[in-house]
Amino acid sequence: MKNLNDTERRFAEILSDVSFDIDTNELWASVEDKLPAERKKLRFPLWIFGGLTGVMLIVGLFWNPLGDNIGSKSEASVSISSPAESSVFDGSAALEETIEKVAAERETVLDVRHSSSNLTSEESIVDVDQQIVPKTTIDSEDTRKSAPSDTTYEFQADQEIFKEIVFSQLPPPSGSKSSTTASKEIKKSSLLSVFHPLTQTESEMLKIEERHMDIGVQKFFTLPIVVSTSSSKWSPYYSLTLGSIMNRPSYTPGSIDAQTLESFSDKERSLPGIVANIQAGIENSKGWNLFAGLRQSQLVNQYRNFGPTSNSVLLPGTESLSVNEQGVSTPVSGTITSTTVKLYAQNLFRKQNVLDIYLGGGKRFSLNENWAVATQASVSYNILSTATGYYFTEEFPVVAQLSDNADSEYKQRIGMGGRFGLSLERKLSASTAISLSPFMSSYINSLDIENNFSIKNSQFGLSVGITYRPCREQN
Amino acid sequence: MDSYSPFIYSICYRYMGNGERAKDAVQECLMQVINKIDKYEDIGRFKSWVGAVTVKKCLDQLRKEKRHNHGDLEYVPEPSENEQVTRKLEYEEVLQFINQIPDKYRVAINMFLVEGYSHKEIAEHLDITESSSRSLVSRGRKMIVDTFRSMKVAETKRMQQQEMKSGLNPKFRII
Repeated sequence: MKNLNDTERRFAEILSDVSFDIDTNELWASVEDKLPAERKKLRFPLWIFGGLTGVMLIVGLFWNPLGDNIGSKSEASVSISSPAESSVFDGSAALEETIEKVAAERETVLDVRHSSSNLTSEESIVDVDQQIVPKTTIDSEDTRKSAPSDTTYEFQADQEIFKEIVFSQLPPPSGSKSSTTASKEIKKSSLLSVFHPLTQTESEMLKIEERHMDIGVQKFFTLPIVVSTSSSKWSPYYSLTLGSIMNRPSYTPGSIDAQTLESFSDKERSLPGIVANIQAGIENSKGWNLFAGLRQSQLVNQYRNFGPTSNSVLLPGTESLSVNEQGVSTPVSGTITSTTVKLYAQNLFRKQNVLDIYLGGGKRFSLNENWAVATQASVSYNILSTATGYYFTEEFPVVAQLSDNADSEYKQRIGMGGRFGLSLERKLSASTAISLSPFMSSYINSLDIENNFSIKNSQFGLSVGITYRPCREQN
Repeated sequence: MDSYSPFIYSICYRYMGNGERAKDAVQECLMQVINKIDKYEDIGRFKSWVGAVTVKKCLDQLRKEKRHNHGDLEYVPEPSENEQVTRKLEYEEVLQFINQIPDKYRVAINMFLVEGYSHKEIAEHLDITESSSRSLVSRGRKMIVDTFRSMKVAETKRMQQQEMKSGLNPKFRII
């Protein structure tokens, strides 16, 4: 201190040395009451979560809950008998009559498998057997069970829907099938990482040597190499996510025949699937991160197949009535044609199990001490893909069943993909955080705008995840 | 707690001016130290860090109480080195002086004389101009000199009175 006289120096000296005797116990008691209660650390079951994710990764590759990929089915039928000479199944009039009859029944729907009876009507029948064939003979050894031959299933049906279904199944005019088909491409979903580490301040970064602790688990989770720059340091993090994923709704290719298309509830329908993800990355104090990971997705698509089928058989019966001059009618035995019209509806599924590896980067922004938002983008490559069930063919506008050994477009064309996601992260403890992440992804092949099926392989979804940052625990 | 509580209390007493307010301030300062302990970056002594936190908290307390509101003050020249009191200051007198002066001068004196802050730093902490800081400190220092000089005068008078009573006044020595 400059320019201070002796008095001021003495004054400052006294004030600096002043001390008081105080009751520290009383003081601490008064302070302790005001201190915030220690928050119970939310111990998120990290290992349970990780175990579940790992199990899902493995099970998703092999598990097929829908054994034959056929869902609920219903049938309605009515028998129409006519003399054998007029055994041709007349469309409109007979169908109208059928509608009236069945609608009047109004009995409980039976959930049964599609009958494997021999069908003769060609173009309106869908072959759901192993191979794609234009003919409509259904193999009796189909995986579906056979209905009893003499059983007529009656069910409750809405009359309007019934009409719509029936009339939509009228045989198309010959030659109406279009030969041009759009190629289907299986769009690989590239899941972006949903792990969004919190921004670290530089003061929290430890030196390299301080991170290598001699404790087993921490040593395992500590990267041996940490990039240290003059402005920021990188630290590792690990993430697990589970979520739901869906294909974006597809549209109906214009080249598909309209009547046939209506057989499939006019479009492919996406159902929620499951996605599991494990990721490791590094991040710096400014929120930038780089990561790599493995992702397992199960995508489910549904096709609703419905329409009328008819089955005519010749049976002995009263062929006609003979009326004599006295007006007495006498039945004349002969052969009659019994036509059974069945309306069926069934859900056919396709499940795609896709295993991808990916690399990406992102940026995280801290909102406050506990919350952060982040964006991420990644590029992926499919290393394994399996598909079971049914799919919409490219050559013929029908739904066909995938063969295990056959290459299908839903197994092929899965290569590079990309994903973009946003996430909201909440800090649970010093080293763990939970996140909620919506994302959109697409296989690069799906970006072909000339491909009418291109959008099938774009996905969107929502994941929840947990992130572990070992270095923060050491701080 | 045992090591640093008296130290914290002494700072609070210097800034708050009396024991009651100092006690309230000590509680707040201790909580602040405890809550911000993770911010301590192992730079310098821990005691210095505690002292800095305590000073800031005291200033916050005074700010809340609006005890050191002041506008620009008229500049008062700093006391020269010759303006000093020849008598030795006593511990109790200093504390009594601290208790009596207004808050704004007490804060300025403590920050300048004891903590060693510059006028610029004082201005930043108190959210005033640097010239106001100079004025506060100058006035405070002037008050120190004036107060203890008057104490000196009063003490001299008291001694004279005692001498008169005891007959030791040399003017009235009886030969």
